[in-house]
Amino acid sequence: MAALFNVRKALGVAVGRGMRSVSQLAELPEMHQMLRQTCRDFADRELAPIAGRLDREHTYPSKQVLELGALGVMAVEVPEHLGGAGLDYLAYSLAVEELSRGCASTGVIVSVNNSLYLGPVLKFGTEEQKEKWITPFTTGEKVGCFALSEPGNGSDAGAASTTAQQEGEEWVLNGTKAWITNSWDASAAIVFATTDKSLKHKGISAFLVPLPYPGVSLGKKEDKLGIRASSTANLILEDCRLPLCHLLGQRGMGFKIAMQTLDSGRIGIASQALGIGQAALDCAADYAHKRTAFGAPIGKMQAIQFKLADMAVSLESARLLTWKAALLRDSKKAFSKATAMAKLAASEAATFISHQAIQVLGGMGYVTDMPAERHYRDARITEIYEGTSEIQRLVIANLLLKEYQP
Amino acid sequence: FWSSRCLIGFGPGRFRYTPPTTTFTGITVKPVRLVLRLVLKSLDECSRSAEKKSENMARVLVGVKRVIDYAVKIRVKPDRTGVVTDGVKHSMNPFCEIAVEEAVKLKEKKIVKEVVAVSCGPQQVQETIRTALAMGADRGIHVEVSGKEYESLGPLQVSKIMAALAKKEEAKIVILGKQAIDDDCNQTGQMTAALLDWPQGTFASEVTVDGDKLKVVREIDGGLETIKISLPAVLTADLRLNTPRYATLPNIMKAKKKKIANVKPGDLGVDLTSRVEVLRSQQGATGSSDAREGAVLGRWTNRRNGPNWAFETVAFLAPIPMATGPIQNHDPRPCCV
Repeated sequence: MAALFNVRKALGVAVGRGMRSVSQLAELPEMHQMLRQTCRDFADRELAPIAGRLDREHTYPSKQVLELGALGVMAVEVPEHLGGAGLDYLAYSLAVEELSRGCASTGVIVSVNNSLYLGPVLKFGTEEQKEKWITPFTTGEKVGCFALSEPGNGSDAGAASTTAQQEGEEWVLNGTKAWITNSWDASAAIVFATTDKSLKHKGISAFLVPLPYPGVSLGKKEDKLGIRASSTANLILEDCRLPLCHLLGQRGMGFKIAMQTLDSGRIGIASQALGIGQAALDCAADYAHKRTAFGAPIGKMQAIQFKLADMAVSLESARLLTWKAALLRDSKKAFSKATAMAKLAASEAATFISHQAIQVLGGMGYVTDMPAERHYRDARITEIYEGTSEIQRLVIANLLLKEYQP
Repeated sequence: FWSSRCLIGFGPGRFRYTPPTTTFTGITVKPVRLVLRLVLKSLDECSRSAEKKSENMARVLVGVKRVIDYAVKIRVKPDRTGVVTDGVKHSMNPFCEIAVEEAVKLKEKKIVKEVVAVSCGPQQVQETIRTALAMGADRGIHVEVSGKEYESLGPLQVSKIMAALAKKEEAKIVILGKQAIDDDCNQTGQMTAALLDWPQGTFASEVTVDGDKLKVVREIDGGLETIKISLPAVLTADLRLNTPRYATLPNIMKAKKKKIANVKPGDLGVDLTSRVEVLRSQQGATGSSDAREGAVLGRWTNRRNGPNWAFETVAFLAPIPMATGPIQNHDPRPCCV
């Protein structure tokens, strides 16, 4: 009996991390279910009631971010000795999805901190850098941001025009970064600057910049269509002097760091899109039960039923793609194509579902009394940031064709 | 007797104590020293277990029940023998969450040393116990009851189990939720106290330790009643006792390592035969039950959409905040993958 228990335990441990397979997507492991339930309860009780107000007033949810830090969700993949939760990417994906279902802006704040800031420092930072730049950012008191895009290039990340010159024992950064999420509320940024323009994308390096810092100023907060509770602004670097130890990874490694980070970040954004899509679907399906027209609830009408079915299928397939991408990443297998597919599917599902949700709600979908209009606005950005849908298609096609290379 | 031995046994000098060197030929001092070391070690353990049984080791037993989630729309089975439970989302009874939170708070205030979460039912209740562990309980006990016995399990049987476990675990305090949201019996706590012949502080909205007694503020029909009860005691948690904490990620991870012991009711000497037979279950008249004065209030008023055969409303004098939320508070899915 004890021997059987040990075998089961051993299997559990082997199955627990890294060796999970697609067959286990049918039901999530117990710990992930508990985490999902915790995040769902938090989203329902703490985020959903204030999401409308946060959106109207463009306020950063600092109290909620602190509470999320206490929950352990601001640093899911970070190992415990650095202050994180030490869990896998599937857990992170579930957490972001459930939180985004309550408030999409909070979801993106959590996602940017986890994937775009803590991710590269964890992967490419030295031990001192990890202690300095990771541990304070696990509790929700401080958040980080990721500065890759510029006014002149978004998708064309290799053509960075922000420069970094080494002058003695300092790096001097000059340039402007655009569309930086969390910028107004962040305490650190990973800035990508080119150290040698002639090397093109191989000349880009990554730097850790504390905020606020002499030489770094923030542009105006962008007035966005959606995810208004998270701040988006330009980061302007004018003669910003950094000590040499602020270089992340090796010189010239910046593009590689950016691409690998975005690969993982896509799972976070896909999860956010799933959360928005789920919230919109819940809204529409609930309304379909309650609203009556032509003598019956509109849920009995085929036109509405077909819409809801299409919405549900697109959401569920995007969810499975996202989970598969997360599982592949946890198993340390090649996951770039999977994440690109996940982000593409999830973001397009989110925009489709929220669009149809407004249609199902009719006039009520157009007014701010119902959350459908907010989901519609929040969903739109998921097709753009962290790799536009067009870039995702290029990535998928490239990797797909490589598989068929004669 | 033990203490005098312990004087020799404890302290840094114990391994330096050498027996009188009157040895027989062939037996050296070394094995004698080894034997003495073993003897003193066992004495150590004896005294440590005596310490465990001492009056200072306060242990709290918390009962948690796995019930159908509050947000789920309840459906009666077609054969009218009960409600549909297969594939329906279940979670911990909200009053049990409050009970666990109170127990963990007592542990954090260092009034008790250990919190033990107990649940009776089939294999699935282990999820509920693990949620209690993730909230801060130290270990769990799963009392295995399944099949017909589980369907007929009621407050009388559960209170017998709780009483037996309270005696076995030598608990000082038993905390239960005041009632379960599926049967709304509000009997288990009271029956447990009666079986144990312990004082009871039911509908507790505030519990403070007053020396070796507990001061309990109870919510009753007429207002608030404050009583002082001596330990050991049974408490049942009401809505305003505390706000249950979220199970944080680190605690969920730690909960995986905590132990859940399996116990059979037979081992506790409990007879599970029911004195109650359910004849028929049927949907109540679904008028707009805007009965906001109810025993189950606050964020669980979503039950206004469900059948209202469950309980008669109880009026409270204290103003209670209502959860009048938009649709997003309601999770329409019957169960979640």
